[in-house]
Amino acid sequence: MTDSQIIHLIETRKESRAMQNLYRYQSVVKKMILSKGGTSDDALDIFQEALIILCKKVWKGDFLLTSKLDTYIYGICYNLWRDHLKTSKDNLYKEMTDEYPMDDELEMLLEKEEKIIAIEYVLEQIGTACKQLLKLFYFDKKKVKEIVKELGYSSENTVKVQKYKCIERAKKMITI
Amino acid sequence: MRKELEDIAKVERYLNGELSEEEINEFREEMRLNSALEKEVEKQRLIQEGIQSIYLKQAAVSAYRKFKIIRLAKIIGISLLSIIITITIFLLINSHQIEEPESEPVDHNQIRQPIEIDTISEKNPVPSKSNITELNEDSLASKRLKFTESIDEIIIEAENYTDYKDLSPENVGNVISNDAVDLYNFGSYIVVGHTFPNEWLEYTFDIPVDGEYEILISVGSGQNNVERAIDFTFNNNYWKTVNTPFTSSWLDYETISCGSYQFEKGNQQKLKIDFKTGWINLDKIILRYPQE
Repeated sequence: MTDSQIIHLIETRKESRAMQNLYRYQSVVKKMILSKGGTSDDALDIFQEALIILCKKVWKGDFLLTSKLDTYIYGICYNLWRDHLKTSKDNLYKEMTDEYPMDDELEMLLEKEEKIIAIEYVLEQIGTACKQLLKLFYFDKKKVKEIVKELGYSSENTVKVQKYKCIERAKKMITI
Repeated sequence: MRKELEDIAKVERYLNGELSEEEINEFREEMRLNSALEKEVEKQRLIQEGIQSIYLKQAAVSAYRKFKIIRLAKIIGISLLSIIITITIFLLINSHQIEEPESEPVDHNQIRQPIEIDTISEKNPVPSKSNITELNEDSLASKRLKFTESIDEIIIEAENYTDYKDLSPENVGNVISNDAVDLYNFGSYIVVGHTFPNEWLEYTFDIPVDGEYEILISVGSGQNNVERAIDFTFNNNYWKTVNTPFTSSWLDYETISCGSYQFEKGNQQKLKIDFKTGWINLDKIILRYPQE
């Protein structure tokens, strides 16, 4: 599968297949992280995070691949791991230079990652029903009409109100 | 709908790009003046992204599982394939070996042509053509069986000499070699043939333990009514002269016992075989380990 085919899969919401294909680049990342004081588990976490960032970036639109996809992913992982070492005050991060410069948007995504992880924790506590509902809106990107049908609600308004209540519940737990 | 929910709804519409241009400008102005609203917007943006992340992570984990399963399937597939290939090659080699003897008689018709050497008159130990027909698969099979009986024997193949004297200036046999010793390939075994008086071969071998070894030689001769004798010399000491039998053809070989010889353990020992009379083809020499 070529790089542009993989990007196309992500664009058309077949990200599962795309990621399945991208895991072949995992071993190189693992080698790098193991050599920089990490474990195999760290390597897998970082790699998965990079895949998620890639998908999000593609979905934001006008994604332009300036290098080969494996290099791109490796670069994200490199920076993610460096940030991790930095925050955990591990001096190993000083060994890691700015070899893989990122564009501003990617940098923003990376910076946000930590916040996102905190939010994920909150969202795990708003209840399965809310999580499922929000998933239909934000992950599956379904229209209100479709959701009404799928969940058997009486009207679009009920679904919307339910959604806002779920957001409210989550917001109350978030402090920024 | 409550005021709080109305506010959430408006932020949602803003984030989802559902507001008109005018509304957007109004909203941004409001955010600029009200930092609390800005925070609410940021929270809701994070919730949207958080939900995406949670399910993307799930997708990534299940994709990893699928990747591992596919990789495992590939590994199993490849190993199965290599096992099958190995078995196939093994079977092919085996069947090839079984077929081998059938092709041998063809070779013999070509290799045992009478060879004339002008400088050596009258005597011609090369077998006549009629002898060749005597070769059959049975004799070859029995020959081959003998080869495998080597568990407690040191077998010195005739062609593995370390020194020689050969009167014909080149190898008149059918085996490609670098010297003048006359080697004949009979398919499953190679012999030294076309022997003449004063020709000799020397062999080097190792003796692992002291003891009295039985000395046997596998020889063939298609020439009847002549004298056939070999002189044995071990480590420069003449041992004995052995008369060898007429085996009815140059392609039939008999293993005869020449008696026992007391060896001392040691490497690089020498045996010189002197073809006193000629008329003898030598297949191999066997040193049989002392029997306990």
